[in-house]
Amino acid sequence: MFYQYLSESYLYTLNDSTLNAIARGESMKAIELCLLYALAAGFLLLSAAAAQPVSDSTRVCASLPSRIEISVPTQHENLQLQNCTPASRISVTGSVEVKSNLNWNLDVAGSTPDGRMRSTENHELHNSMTVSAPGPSGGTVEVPGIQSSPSVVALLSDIAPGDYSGSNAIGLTFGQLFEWDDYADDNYQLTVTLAASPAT
Amino acid sequence: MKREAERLGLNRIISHLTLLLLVVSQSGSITVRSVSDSTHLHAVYPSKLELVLPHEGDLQMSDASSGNDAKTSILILVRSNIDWLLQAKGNYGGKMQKVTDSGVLLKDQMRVQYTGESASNEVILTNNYKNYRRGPPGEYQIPTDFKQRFAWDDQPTNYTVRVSFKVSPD
Repeated sequence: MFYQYLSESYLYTLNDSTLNAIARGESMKAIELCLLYALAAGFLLLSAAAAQPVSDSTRVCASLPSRIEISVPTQHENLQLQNCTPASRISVTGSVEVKSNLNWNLDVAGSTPDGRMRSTENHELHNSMTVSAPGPSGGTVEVPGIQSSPSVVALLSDIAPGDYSGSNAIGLTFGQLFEWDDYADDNYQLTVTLAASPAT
Repeated sequence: MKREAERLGLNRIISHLTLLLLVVSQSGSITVRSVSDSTHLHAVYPSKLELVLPHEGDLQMSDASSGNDAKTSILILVRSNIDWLLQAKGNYGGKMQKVTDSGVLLKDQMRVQYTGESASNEVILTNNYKNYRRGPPGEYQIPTDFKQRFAWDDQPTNYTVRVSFKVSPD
């Protein structure tokens, strides 16, 4: 419509001989003008449009070192075998907490020469103490002594991280057989050392 | 002669009348009236958003340890002349991945937390953008912590994750 209006208003003032040539020129001008208007309108529309989201990213790196921890809960640091009588096996329950991000072993060692309970009066029981651990990897071992060979035995072997997840504390059962030929004594003792180490 | 004299006299009269008309005509245009005109100014101020992350290199969590949280911090810059929304997401479901084995991921997802005034809750990263911060137009520095929990059953090795941020009109 705009083009038509322009053409007509100019053509009224011209004579017939130059009408066609000039009309072609004016038409070109009108088209150019329309294109300019269209471009300007497009530019304005683009400028006024909503901003587009912009994004960026960053990389975060971390090195997680291998680590292993072991601890005996305070309430299980001193255990008492109760109701000890001849010809009976007495047991007491303890626990140990192992945390590791590698496969690990749990070893046991005793504090006396033969791994047997000994009194302050140097009475020694005739049987070794045993330690049991639950679970499919668990078993029962006799506590070795410092003069035993080997002086350390494996209670648990090649345990994967998370095998005891949910309960870091692993229940342990310490058992001791008392026989008639063991001297009666009020103060039998044994320190059992539990050591966790990476499985090789 | 008499006619000639009359004609000359008539011409003189006509000449005087013409001069008088001219003078009257000129005097009509002596008064200048004030004129005015105006123009409109237009401007288009387009909406714009900018997001700047520091790019000195990869961010390193130096205190990674099993059973603990580790963190590292950055300062994110947002510039906007409209209400804005900042969102965050992470690759691999927001979990750090073992550098040398694409199949190994940490058990826990990374979290991001705004640590400026009135610190916000942590946002757990996933594959999809989740809302992190929003605000009115302006220029904002957004101190941000990346936090990662390392579980005991996470394999000790090197991990990495790409965290992406997006700011868009709110």
